[in-house]
Amino acid sequence: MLSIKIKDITFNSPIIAASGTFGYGYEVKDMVDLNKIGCVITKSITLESREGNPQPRLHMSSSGMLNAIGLANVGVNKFCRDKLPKLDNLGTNVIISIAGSCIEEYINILKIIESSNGKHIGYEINISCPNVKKGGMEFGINSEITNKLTKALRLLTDRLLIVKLSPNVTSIEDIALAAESGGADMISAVNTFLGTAIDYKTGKFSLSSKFGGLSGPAIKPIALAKVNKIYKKVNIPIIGMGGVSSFQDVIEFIRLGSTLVQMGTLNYRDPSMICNFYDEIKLFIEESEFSSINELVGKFDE
Amino acid sequence: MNKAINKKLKSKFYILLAMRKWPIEYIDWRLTTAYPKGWKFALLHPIILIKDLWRYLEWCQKIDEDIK
Repeated sequence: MLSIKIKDITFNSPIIAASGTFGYGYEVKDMVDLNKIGCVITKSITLESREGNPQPRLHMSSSGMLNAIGLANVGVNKFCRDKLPKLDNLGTNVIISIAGSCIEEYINILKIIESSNGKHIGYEINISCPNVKKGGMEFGINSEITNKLTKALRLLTDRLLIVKLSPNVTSIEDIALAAESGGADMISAVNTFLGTAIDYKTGKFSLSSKFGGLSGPAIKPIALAKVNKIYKKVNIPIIGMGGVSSFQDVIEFIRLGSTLVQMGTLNYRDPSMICNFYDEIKLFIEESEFSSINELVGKFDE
Repeated sequence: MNKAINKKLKSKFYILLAMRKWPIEYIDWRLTTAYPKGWKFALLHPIILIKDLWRYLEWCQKIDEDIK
């Protein structure tokens, strides 16, 4: 009823744990029922290890959160050696998020992970991180580079290739089209919105990097609009995200065109909350005229 | 007034109590996310850690209200 099949891969549930909110994946295995999650997406992995931005890099804002973590991670080699084996028997699908500062870097990361022969089902290509000085969002705001990068990575893997888009663009559907024509299997939309916070008394920024990515319930209406714009333009499945905090939110994203839905900021509140949605969505489907969650995708009043 | 403050404090306490179930690996990851040197930074800067924890508990309460 809640399972979804994409390219011969079965997702037990339409709900996914978003990158950067669930650790590398294995840290939460004793806290959640992983059978109720379609997939876990790891923290973004870069070529070299990164400490990220200086502290403070998290700011709790109204109905959301500003983060400027700056892609802190152990680097691809340590990831493959220490983290990837722990993910092989996690109990749910695993997607690895990767981020780079140039096309060659993305290629090298993918090659190294592919050579490790992990059991992960795919890659989420993060071309939309607003918190790094080099790379990240530079890719996500340019259709040509997005297309070139997707084409280059498509040649290297048969696993799912998902491109994660930035909402900080004029026409997100054009970037989605560029990823689709480059060979992406799916689109993730949307990453965080560029934002800032300042102390009204001192004039001091709340984040060390001054600007960060806004996520949480505050961004949901904008994220829903972006997802629907993409849905009307592309033919590949969409993973919607942005401020999901209830099962109703998951259904809204699905109705507007998402096949799967990621949950992020709420994991910072309580990582076990993600499992509650499974039962609630199941009950909703049982009581509706639909026989499966698939039937709800794109069911909105024109 | 006092009742409202007590209620808020009580709810913070319950959020904190629920956090005792967090595995060490998860706490380590959360600290690494918040601070460049993770738990080492937290140990060396306990006041920052306590202030951040307090802000986090307040944020949890706000998010809980939003969800409701």
